[in-house]
Amino acid sequence: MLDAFLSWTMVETGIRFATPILLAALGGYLCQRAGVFNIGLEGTMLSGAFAAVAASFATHSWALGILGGVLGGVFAAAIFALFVVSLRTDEIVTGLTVNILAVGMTTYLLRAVFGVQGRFASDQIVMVPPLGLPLDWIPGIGSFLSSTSILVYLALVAAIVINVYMRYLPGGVRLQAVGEAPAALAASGLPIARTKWLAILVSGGLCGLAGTYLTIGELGQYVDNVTAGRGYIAIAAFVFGGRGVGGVVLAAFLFGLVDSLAIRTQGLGLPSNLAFTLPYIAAIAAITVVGARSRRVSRA
Amino acid sequence: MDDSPALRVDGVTVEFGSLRAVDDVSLACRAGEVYALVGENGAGKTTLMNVIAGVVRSTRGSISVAGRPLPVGDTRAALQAGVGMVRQHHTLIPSRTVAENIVLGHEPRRGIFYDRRRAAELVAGLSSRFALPIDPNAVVADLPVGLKQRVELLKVLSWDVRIVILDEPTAVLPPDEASRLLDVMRGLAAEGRTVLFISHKLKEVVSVSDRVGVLRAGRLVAESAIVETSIPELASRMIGEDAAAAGAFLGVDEGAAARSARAGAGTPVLAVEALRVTDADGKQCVDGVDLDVAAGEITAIVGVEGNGQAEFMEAIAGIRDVASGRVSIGGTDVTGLDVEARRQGYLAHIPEDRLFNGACVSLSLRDNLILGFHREPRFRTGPFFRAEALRAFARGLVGAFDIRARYLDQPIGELSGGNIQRAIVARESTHDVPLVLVAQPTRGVDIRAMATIHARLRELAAAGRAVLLVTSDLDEALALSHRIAVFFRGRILLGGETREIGRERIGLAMSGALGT
Repeated sequence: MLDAFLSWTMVETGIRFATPILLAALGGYLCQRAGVFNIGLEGTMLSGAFAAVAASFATHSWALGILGGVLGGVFAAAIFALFVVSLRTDEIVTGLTVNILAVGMTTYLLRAVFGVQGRFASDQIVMVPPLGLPLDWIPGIGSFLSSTSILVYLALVAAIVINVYMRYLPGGVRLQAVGEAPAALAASGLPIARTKWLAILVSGGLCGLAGTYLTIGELGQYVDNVTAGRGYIAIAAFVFGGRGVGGVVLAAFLFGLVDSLAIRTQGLGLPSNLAFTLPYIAAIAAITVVGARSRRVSRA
Repeated sequence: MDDSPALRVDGVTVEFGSLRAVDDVSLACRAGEVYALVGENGAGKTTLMNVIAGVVRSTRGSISVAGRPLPVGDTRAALQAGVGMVRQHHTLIPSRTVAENIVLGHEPRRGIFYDRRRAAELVAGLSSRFALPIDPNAVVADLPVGLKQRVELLKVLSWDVRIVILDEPTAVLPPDEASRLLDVMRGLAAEGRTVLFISHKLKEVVSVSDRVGVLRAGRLVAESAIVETSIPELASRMIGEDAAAAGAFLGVDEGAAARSARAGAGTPVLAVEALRVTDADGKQCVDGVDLDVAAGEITAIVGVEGNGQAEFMEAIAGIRDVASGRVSIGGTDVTGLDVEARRQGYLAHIPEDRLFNGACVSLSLRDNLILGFHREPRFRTGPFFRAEALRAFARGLVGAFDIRARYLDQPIGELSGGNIQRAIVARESTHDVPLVLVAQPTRGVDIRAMATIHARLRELAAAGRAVLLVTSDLDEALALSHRIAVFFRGRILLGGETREIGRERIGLAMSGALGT
C-alpha cells in the first residue's frame, strides 16, 4: 500500500497539479513584491482559461491558444491594475470583484458565443502538445518528462526567469523597493505606478498560462469554473513560499502533491468529498502557520 | 564660466487646493555656498525644497541650475541636472545592502545583469572620497539611524550633484555626529558645491551657513549674510514679532530656570527597579534599568533613538509587557496593572507618536480633549454626554493652551502638528496624577508651540508632579531637566544632576564612547 502512495505516478500527478498553482503563485509573488496583494488570481486564471479555449477553437492552433490564454489573463489583470493602481481602490475588494466578474463573464460568454451551458467541448479545440524531450531513458519519471505538456516546462522556465530577475537584475531590486520602500524609488526618480502596473500585467499573463494549462493543456475542453479555487491555493503558495522564488516553487509542488494524494485516498475508500477538501485544508494550515509567524513579528 | 548663479529660484508658487504653501519665492545661491532656510512649521520650507528637487510640482515659477531651466516636478531630471535632496524621512530599502540602496536608479550593469561588485566598489570610492565611512555590504535595516543618514547623503552624492539639499539633517543625530555632518556640509561647499539646508536649530544655522533665508507663511520675508544677523533677529523674523517677544520663545537655552531647587528629597514618585523589556524579536531592548523620579522633578532620558528609551517609556505606561523588574508609582507596585488602571490615578502620558497613540485623528478636537475624562459623572447624564459640559471643558483647555483651530468640532487631524501636540499636552497635564510621561514633546513643532509646551512642563514640575521626559533633542533636555539619564543599548550609561554633567560627556555617552 505504501508503494501506491509513493509511486512515481503520484509525483507525476503532483507536478501536473502543481503547474497551474505555480504559475499563478509566481504572478501573485511578483505582485506582492510590488506591494500589491493580488487576491484576484482566481478570476484572472479563469479569464485566461476561457480565452485559451476560445482562441484554440477559433484558430485551430495551440500556440495561438496559449497566446489567447495569456491575453485573457492580461485583460483581467489590466482591470485589476486600473482600479487598484490608477484609481487607488481597495485591493482586496477589487480582487474579489475580479473573481466574481470572471465567473459571470465566462458563464455568459460560454452561452453567448458557444451557445452551451456548463461545458464546451469540441474536436476543433487543439491541445498543447508535449515538449517531447528525449528523456525516456531516465528511470521512473523519464516517460513522464518526455510526454508532459510544454506548459509544465514553461512554468519551470518562468520560475527560473523570475528568480534570475529578482536576484541578478537591477529591476529586481527596484521591484522589491516598490513594495518595501516606495519612497526610495521616488527619491531616485523611478516610476512607482508604472512598475506596479507591469508587475500586475505580468502576473495576469502567468495566471493566463495557468488557465491555459487547465483547459487546453489538460482537459481539452472548457468547464464552468474550471479553476475551482486553485487561484486561492496559489495565494496560499506564495504566502507560504516566503521571500524567495524557490520557496514558492516548493510550496506549489507541495500543494500539488496534496492534490494528488487526495485522488489517491479516494482509491483507498476515503469519501471523495472529504478527499477533495484536502488541498484546501493544507492551504488553510499553511496560511495559519505563516500568519502566526508574522503576527509575532508585527506585534513589535 | 558664465556668471549665472549655481541655483536660481524664480517666482515659485505652490498651491495645494486653496492653500498657498509657497508664495512667490525667488532666491539665488552661488557655488561654494551654504544656504540655510529657516521658518516655523508649515512655513513652506520643505515644500520649496521639494520643488527644487523636482518632487513637488510648482504652480508657477521656475528653477534653473547654472543657467539651465529644470523641468517641473521631475526628480530624475533634477538628479541628472545635479540637484539632489536628503529627505527628512528615510528613503532606504531596509532589506537591501548599503551599496544597493546608494546606486538605486543608476545601477552599474554587466550586460543586462546587476554588477554588484562594481556597485560595492563605487560606494567604497564615494565613501572614502567624502570621508563618510560605511560598509557597502551591510544591510540597511541593521544600521543605526546616524549611519542610515550617511547612506542617504552618499546616495545623493552618487549622482554627482552640484546642489545638495538637506531637510533637517541633524534632527535625529547625537551631538558629535551632528557636528561631523556640519563639517561634511562645509567640505561639500568648499569643493564648489552649493549646500541648501533646512533647520530648526538656529545655533547650527549660525555656525555653518554663509547666508540664511527666512520663510514665513510661504513667503521669503528676510534674507541676509549670516554675519549680518543674529539668533534673536532670525527668531523674530520667523514668528513675525519683535525681537523681545521672540526672546521669550528662545527660553530653551541651557542653564535656564530654577532647577536648583530640587524638590524631591523624599520618597520617589516613580521607582523603577531592574526593569527588563524584550522586543518582538526576542532582543533585550531594556536591559536592567533602575531609575527614580521624585516629585517636583523633571528627569530627562536622552540617547540616540533605538537604544531602548521608547520601549522603557512604553513599559512604564503599561503599553508594553515587562520581562522582569518592578515599576512602582507613589509607593504602589503597578507592574501588573494594565494601561487603563495605570491612567486612573497613577500617570498621564504624552506619547511619542502623537497621531497614532496620542490622538484619534478622525475625532474632533473637542472629543480628543475629553478622552480619558469621558466617563466622569460631571460630563454625563445617565448614558448620555452632557454636550454643554463637554464644550465648556474643551473651550477652557483651548484657551489655556492657545490651541488654534477653526472650531471645536474640527477633526484634530486637520490641525498643524504643533496644535495637535498642544491639545495632547493640555489633556494629559489636566489629569490629577503624580507622574507625567512625556516622549519627544516638541519634535517637529515650531518654536511657538515649543515655548508653550516647555512652560507647561516646568509648571507641572513646579506643582509637584514627577515628570519623566524622553527626548532626542539634547538642548531640550538640558533646558528642562533637573536630572539626566543617558540610554545606550538598553542601559543607563550615564546619569546625574543636569547642572553637573557636562554636555560633552553626555554626547560621548550617547554614542557609547564613554567608558563605564
